[in-house]
Amino acid sequence: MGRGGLRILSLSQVSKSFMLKDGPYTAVDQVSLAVKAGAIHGIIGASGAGKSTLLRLMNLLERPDTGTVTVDGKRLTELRDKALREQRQRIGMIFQHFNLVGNATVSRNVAIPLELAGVPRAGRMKRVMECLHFVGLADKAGQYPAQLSGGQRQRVAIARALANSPKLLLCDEPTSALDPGTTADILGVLRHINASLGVTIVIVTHELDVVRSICSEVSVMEGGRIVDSFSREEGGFLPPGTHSGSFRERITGRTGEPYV
Amino acid sequence: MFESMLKYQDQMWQSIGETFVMVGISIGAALLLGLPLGTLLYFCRKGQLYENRNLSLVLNSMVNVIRSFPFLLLVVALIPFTRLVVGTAIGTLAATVPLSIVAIAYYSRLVEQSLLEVPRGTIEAALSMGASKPGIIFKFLYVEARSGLVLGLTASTISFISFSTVMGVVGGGGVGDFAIRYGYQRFETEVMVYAILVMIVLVQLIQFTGSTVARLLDKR
Repeated sequence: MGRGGLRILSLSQVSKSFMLKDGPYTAVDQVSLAVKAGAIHGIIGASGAGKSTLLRLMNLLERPDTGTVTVDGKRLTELRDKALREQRQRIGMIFQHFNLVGNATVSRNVAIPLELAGVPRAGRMKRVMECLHFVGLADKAGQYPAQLSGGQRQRVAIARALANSPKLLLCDEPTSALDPGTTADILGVLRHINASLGVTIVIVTHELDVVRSICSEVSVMEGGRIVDSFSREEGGFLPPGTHSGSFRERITGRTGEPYV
Repeated sequence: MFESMLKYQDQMWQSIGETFVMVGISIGAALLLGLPLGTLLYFCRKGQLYENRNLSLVLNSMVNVIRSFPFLLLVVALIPFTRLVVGTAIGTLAATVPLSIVAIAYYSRLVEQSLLEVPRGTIEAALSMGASKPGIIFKFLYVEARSGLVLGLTASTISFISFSTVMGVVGGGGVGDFAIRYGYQRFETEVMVYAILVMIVLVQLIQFTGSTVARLLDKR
């Protein structure tokens, strides 16, 4: 990160393999990556490129075979069980299929991470309402996820991820289960979180328009490696639409220097 | 029929009481020990959070052995153990010991199945929030699986009633024993039919209650 700025997240030489029936499969191969505080960092690539595994390495949902993961100055790969859980409470995460607790109301869903972090009962409800206000769902507090639309469910998941005021928000294909209109809506919420709360966002997606519309920097993954990397500062991204070529050309409209 | 109902009213009420004691204590045992055992079975499975092949093998063998015993023989085999626990191998209280053992094994299996239906993503979300083991269990797993857990307990209860009918062999009493001794062995067919009707009503009530509660709990 030559242009400076504090790194909130850095991965150094991380690798992760899985044992499959026909031998080991390397999902993430010697990846190093640094994300500046305040960035919206997109990770794009085809299915099976290792994007989701890379994201899950960032909060150690997957433990890397080799390499280190550092978030906000804490080296997660060196932490024991309890200390790691405490750090995870400060990293928000949202998912493609929302992963809400279906038998819990909207407000209870948002309250759970606060309970886990030991926030006293008195402060919990206040914080829950703050978060629901932020995503525009204060009026749905008493409803169950099944009564909400997909976009509303993702907003609840975002409120839940924000409950413990994280500095970093990890998003695993957050709009891939949503229609285009709702996608724009959710991206607006993410942009708002980044701009007004200063939360750094890492977003894994296979949708070019997601990257074009909100990301400030992009890493392109292929075969478990980062094969290209560029930022909006270098000259802006194209408006949403379909183009052909490499991921860089399709996002920026320009071919780039070979990535090293 | 009404005649025999009146004639044996006292015995019938006593039998129902005995059935309630035996089944009630078994339900207690199922909840107190079967629920944690089932949760452990779930966590130790291959691919689950605390995968443990050895523990999984031991627990599964135990549950399977208990469940494959012909129940009557299990009752007999457990007589020394029963004596150790309640001081006697005869009577209603003694009968609850083998019944509870089967209840624990039976319900733990149903608990494991219910928990397996909780989506992996829910567990993943819990982990991403930094949930501890108790946090995952009580704030996610049991909440999501609660209607399945209730339906499992309902099915178990009905099985326990069925198991309890043979407890006459160790003087356990109960409605089933009443039907056998008064109705079958004394050739009073009406009494037998009467007792069976009581059991049918009992089972219907339990199933209706269980299904209703499960439906009300399910918000997914």
